Amino acid sequence: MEALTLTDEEAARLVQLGEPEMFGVLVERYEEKLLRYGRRFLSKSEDIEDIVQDVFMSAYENIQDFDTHARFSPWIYRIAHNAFVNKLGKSVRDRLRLIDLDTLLSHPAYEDPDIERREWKEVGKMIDKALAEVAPKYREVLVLYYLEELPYKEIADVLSVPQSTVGVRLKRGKEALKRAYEQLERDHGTH
Amino acid sequence: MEHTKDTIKENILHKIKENKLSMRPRAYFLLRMVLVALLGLVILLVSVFLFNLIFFSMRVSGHAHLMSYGPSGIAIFLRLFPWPLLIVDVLLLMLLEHLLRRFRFAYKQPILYFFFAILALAISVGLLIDRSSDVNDRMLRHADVNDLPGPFNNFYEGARRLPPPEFRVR
Repeated sequence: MEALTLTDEEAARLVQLGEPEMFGVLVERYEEKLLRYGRRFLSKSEDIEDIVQDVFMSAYENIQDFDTHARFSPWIYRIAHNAFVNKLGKSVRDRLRLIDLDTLLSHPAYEDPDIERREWKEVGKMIDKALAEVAPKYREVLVLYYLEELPYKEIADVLSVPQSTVGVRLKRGKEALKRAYEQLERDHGTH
Repeated sequence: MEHTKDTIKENILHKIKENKLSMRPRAYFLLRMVLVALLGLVILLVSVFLFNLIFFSMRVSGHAHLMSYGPSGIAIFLRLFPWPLLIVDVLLLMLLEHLLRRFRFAYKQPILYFFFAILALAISVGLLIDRSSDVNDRMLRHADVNDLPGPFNNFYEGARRLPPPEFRVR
């Protein structure tokens, strides 16, 4: 089967059946995405390449746990997310993983592609300058949505939270991003 | 960047080829799933048992009737309620919820919704067992002659505990 015509899920299935070279196809497809995700999420000069390599190694070790009826993208993003969160350090990891109000209750947030498209340009400009100033909990959804362009459902699977929580964090993340951006603009304006 | 891409892919494929990187077998994940399911089932059964014991305790001691004696009756009921059992039960269900949160059917719901769903399940089954069968009454008769294993004698005899002296009729 031509590797180019294979879906991610088909490639993963072939790996599971004993064709490890097919894993190279998946590495090629996701390497740049995960490197970009890592650089934006960690936002420091971490050794992103080493972490991403570890992510792929972990993905290969656990490939038999992947359900080929589900999408591969959120599965590998989840492994990457967990690796990046671990890199952030214990205190941040604890803040991200402890029960928080976003996940306790349902929230009336929904995905509106028209609104999101209008805001994309504005948010994109702010992300370039101010993303590092935003708390990791909101940074991760901003990166996954605006930079990795994952839909709410897949972000929910990556973060293991309800879809409504994704909406809430995205809304709050945009607000935090805007505040950080405006603060940076003010700071630069005074220099 | 191209060099980096080739390096990562090459490193991974090289490790696979040299058997320095291998897949965990499917059986490992199946076994893990079975163990998680078993642990979850044990926790749920213990929780159901504890709720069953709470309902039995209120019935056999007559404390449930205190609720019909107005505010003072309710106050005494709350004083006599087996709060330690309820606290242990809630903690067990929180543990169960945490255990199941890795699965999509659990995390796609807000935490409190899922928690209250399994709480309602445990309460319902516990109440059903007490009210629709005589298993608790039979266990109490066995406990009266110390015929139950381990701590079960204490569980059932404790369910029929007398109220503190200040609440008894003189």
